[in-house]
Order: sequence, then C-alpha cells, then structure tokens
Amino acid sequence: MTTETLQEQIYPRPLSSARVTTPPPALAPARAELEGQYVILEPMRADQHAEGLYQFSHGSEQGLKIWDYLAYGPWPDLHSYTAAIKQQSADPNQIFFALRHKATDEVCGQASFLDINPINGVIEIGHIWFGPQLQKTRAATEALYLMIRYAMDELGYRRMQWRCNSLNADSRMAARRLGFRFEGIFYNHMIFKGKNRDTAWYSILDNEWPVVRELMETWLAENNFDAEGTARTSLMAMMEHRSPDFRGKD
Amino acid sequence: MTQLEKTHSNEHDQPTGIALDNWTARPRPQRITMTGHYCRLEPLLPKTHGAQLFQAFNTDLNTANWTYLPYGPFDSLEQFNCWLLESCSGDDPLFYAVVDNNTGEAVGLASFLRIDPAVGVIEVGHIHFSPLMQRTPLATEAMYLMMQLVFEELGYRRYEWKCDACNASSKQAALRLGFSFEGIFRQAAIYKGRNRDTAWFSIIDSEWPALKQAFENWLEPGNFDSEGLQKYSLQDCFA
Repeated sequence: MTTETLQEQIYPRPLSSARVTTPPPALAPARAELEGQYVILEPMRADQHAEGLYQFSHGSEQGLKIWDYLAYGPWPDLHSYTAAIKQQSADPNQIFFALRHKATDEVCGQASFLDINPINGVIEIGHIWFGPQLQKTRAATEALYLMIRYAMDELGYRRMQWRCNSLNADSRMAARRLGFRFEGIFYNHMIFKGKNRDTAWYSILDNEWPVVRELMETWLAENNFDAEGTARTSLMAMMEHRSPDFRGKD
Repeated sequence: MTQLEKTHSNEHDQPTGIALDNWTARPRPQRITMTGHYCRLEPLLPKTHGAQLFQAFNTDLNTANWTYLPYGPFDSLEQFNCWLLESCSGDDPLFYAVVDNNTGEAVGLASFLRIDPAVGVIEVGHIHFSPLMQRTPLATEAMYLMMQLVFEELGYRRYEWKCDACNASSKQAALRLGFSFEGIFRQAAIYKGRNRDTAWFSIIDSEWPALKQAFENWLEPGNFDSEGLQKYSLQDCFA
C-alpha cells in the first residue's frame, strides 16, 4: 500500500468523436462455463458452490479480509451466506461465477459481469474476491483474463470497466497489472457499510485489448513459471512498460 | 484536506472512508416550482411549455445547440411535443422548464436524473438553454436553484454533471459553475452514430457553502449594469 498508488494520474488517452465503424450492440454474456489452463469459471449456484466459497471466505483471518472493501459480507453463518449467493445468482442484470482452482479442484473465489450494456458496448467485471489459496496465483490472473477475453473477443464489447474503492490499493494495483488504464475518481459516490466510498475507475478499450491480451498470454504461458509456480516475469512491469504508441487511437 | 487525511483504518489496518453515522436515505426531488429573482423552474408540462420551448429553441438558427444532445432537432411542434410527452414526463429524468420571470415564457429545459436517494447522489442533465437565456443571469440562476434544492432541501452528498468530452461549452460551463473535473470514461456510449467519451464533474456537499455564497454575490441585481452586463465574474466571486 503506497500513497503513490492512491494518487495516480489519469491516463492521457486522446478524445474521440469518430464515427463508430464496428457498432454495437455487443452480445449479452451467457451463464456458461469458461475454462483455462489453471482455472474454471462456473456460473454460480448456491447448491454447488456456497459451502466451498463460505469456507474460503470465512474460515480464516486472511479469508475474512476480502470483505473489507465489498459492499456486503461477512455473514454470520453458512445459512445466511447461502441465501445471499442465491440472491446474487438470481439477478438478471449480472452473471456471477465461482472460480474453481484446477490444481486443487476447490472453489475459492468469485467474479461477475455487471453493468452489462450491450447497446453501447460497455461491460464491467467486479464483485471479485480471491480466497487466500487463489491470491497472487496464475489461476487468479487467468480467471480475469478469461472473462475479459470472452467479453472483448467473443461478445464484441468496446469498453471493459473496473471500479473499486479509491482507498483499496490492492484492487487499484490489480487493475493496472491487468492492463486497465486509470480514468478518475468519483467523490462521495457511494456509502458502503456506513462509510463514505470514493470510487476509482479504470478501463480497457477495444483498440487497446490486442496488446493487453498478448502480454497476458505471454505471462500466463506455462514456460513463464518455475517448478514452484512462481512467475519469472512481472505482469505489472509488462503492462506499465507498454509502448505509448498503444494508447487509444481513433 | 487531502483524501488520505480524511480516512480511518479498520481492524485489518486498511484505510476506509469516513464514517457517516447518522446517514439516512434522502427524499426524491418533487414536482415543485423553484423561484429565483430572474427565472423560475416549473415542473415540465408539455401542454403549457411545449409551444414556448419549441419557439425558443428555434431561435438557435443553425441548430448547433442540438449537436451534443442524443435527440433532436425536431422538425415540427407536433414531433417536439411527442418527444416531451414520451421522454420528458417521467420521474427520472425529472424535467423542469426554465421560465423567464420577465416574460413568463419557457426559454430552456433542465432535469434531475440518475437519482439515487439511498446514497444521496443526483445528476443535473438534459440541459438545453435556448439563445434567449444563454449567457444571461437566468442560466446561472437556474443552475443555482437546482443545486440549492439538492444540497439544502434534499441533503444530497454528491451532484453530478457529465457531458461529451468533445463538448467544450458544456465542460466550461461545469467548471464555471463550481464543478470539479473527475475524469473521462473512454468509449462510454454511442449516439447519433458517433463515439462518445464521457467527461465527469461533481460538486460534493462540503463544497456547497462556499459556492452558495459566491452564487448569491454574483446574482445580486447590483452586479449587473443597465445593459445586463456583469460587473464582476462568477470566478471573481469564488476567489
């Protein structure tokens, strides 16, 4: 956590009022499995996922920390958590996924598509938490890569959003590491758990995606990891050192 | 005070926002008339205001005022009234006609939208001032009256302004009225076949008292000469 992270500058991308040559609508995302080398994203179901997710998000001090910057949780017991998972899975405006770590076959995190706006080609990933077993693993990175790739390549979105509490340095670093560019902060934007929340905003645009995708795929390649699964390269450094030529263009 | 100084830490030693201990959901804005010295905002009634607004907007001969609105211009009063009835008669956006106190005629439109009483966030938008009120005290006063309602009567925490990032006039207007620039959402929307990057601005509750004082000083009748020209600018009043 650094003060520097919280005071980053808006990334200077050029403005555009260009005619839209590949117009949306994009396609609505499906409640369907997304599978990679290290992780499977399963459309969330309380009967299959609630118990595992509860264990990893409530079973330890480290697990409980994931709730600090989310609008909800933690829950007093599995019963109330299951009810909340049922509510999430029933929301027609979002698609929640449970993240299954292939190495252990455990469901130990979640993520969702939200703010789904196919008409304007805008979509967001959020409601993300990784249990301690998934934190800082290639499986976690791959999970978000799979969601972004699905939205940009298969569904045809023009804009992928990320937002978080502006004080959540880990989430802001995660966005940058995944290739998102900082767009600004909405002050007094929300109230979470009785406290003010200023919201930091990030995005990846369709014309930025091919480079982001290439860097992610290079980083995720099996030969980038040693026998212990430690990456040989830093994805953050790769993203931060992208050529300025790859800024958004008309 | 900087953002970091206003934060607290939780039991995990993570910074969190300031506590809002007595917060309760705020009321929605009502269909009431807001009255000022130069103008008043009346809840939009197409029957009453439609013909007056159509005429006022038609004084914009080259239709440049419609460029950055996602609708219009309209060829006939009939079409215009249809649009007012279908698109401008709901509760969100909640439209008001700006009526000139001197003539009693409607000369512009503005609305509250994206109204979120639970967290006290609201936006002002669909602002369309005809040439009859552009660059007059009416325009500033109309915006002042809406802000005053939001912060003083309704008790909201955040007042938003957004526009096409290519719309220099709207961006200048926001800054002149005391909004702070927050950022730009690239490729946020598509309208009239064009890409739209959306620029975002806000005023938050803690900023309002100083702004209110400046508006009141600027709007004083004594600030305008016999031709209606200002003696000192709104920017001077902020200083």
